Amino acid sequence: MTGLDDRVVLVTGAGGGTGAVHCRRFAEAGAHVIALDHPAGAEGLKQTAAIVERLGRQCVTGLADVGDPGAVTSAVDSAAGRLGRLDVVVANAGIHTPGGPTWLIDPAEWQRTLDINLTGVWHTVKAGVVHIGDDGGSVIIISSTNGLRGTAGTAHYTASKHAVVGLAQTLANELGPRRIRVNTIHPGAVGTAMVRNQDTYRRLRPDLPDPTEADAAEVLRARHLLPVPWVESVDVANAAVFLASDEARYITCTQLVVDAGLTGKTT
Amino acid sequence: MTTRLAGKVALITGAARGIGRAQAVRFAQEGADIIGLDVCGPVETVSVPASTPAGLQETARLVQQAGARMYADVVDVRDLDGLRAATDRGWRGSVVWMWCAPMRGSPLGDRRSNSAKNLGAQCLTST
Repeated sequence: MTGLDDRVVLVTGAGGGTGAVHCRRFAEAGAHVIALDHPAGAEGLKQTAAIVERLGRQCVTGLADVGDPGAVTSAVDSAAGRLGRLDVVVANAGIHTPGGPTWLIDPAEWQRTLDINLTGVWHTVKAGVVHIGDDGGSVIIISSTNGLRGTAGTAHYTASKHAVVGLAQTLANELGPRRIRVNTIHPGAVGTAMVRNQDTYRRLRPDLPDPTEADAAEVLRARHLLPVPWVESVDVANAAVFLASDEARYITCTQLVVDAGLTGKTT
Repeated sequence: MTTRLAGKVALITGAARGIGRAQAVRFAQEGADIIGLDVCGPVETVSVPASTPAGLQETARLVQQAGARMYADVVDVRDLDGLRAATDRGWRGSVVWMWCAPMRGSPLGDRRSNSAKNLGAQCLTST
């Protein structure tokens, strides 16, 4: 039904977290996978490849920092060459670091975030779309609920995640004639290391000396419409598989929010 | 037929044609049973041709063809009491479907099975 049999998907940040789950869900839907991660993520990429191959799909891995356009392009060129085609790009790689008041954010932190979350997506898309054939395809950029609204202390992250919405809408206009659809997904809190870490627990529970995951989850649950503290990676990956599938053939230039009601909650 | 919606019942208004019919058929293809309602007649200032009872029948036929059941009823969504009554009749119908087909294993079906027994063995299919 999903129509992804023998299509090829490129996923960045594929060595762990939500990226690895994207690879698994796309493989389960029948796709072969090009899994990219930065050079320090080699071990995680091996595990991702093993998961994809256990599902009977091919996985070509590549080590490249998305901030390095030459490395990304050569990795994608080589992998797309080996698999013979490319249909879907999931620009998933991104970082979220502690910020602080906008006027006090460390300039290096600002630049690093923009380099990876914005320029890295541009590099990924540039490297990918040239390989998408005449049948068309789907570009999926993983933004954030912070790509739709700001939250205090996250200017670097929020600016980067808003910026990719503009990038996606521009690309959608440019690539529509080639039947390439471009959409963003906006996850809220996702139950990966990006949320489930001691630093985040401390920020969520400044009232406690040594907060646990359960302490943090209590605060997060209260921020969602649905009674959950976060969504899971697979919920984001399911949305990506849908957007990549023929079921979404006329969906382009839109924003799909997967946040358990984080942005919708008004009280 | 896939089964992403097996054991569920979907309430769909405007089911006699167009997108409403497409919803009913698509949901049925995924395993859901349907309560399909439509006014099946003209609406005052609307200039497009009115939906018809025959159209609603056709939706029911397509739903059955997809392997699901549909309770069809004629109601105007502006008529709250009528809408409630039709939905309720459809809901009771769906309870019987659940009871008649417990192998579908829906938690809803299990919860509803007692009240279903009170309704006897009558199985509703499309009207």
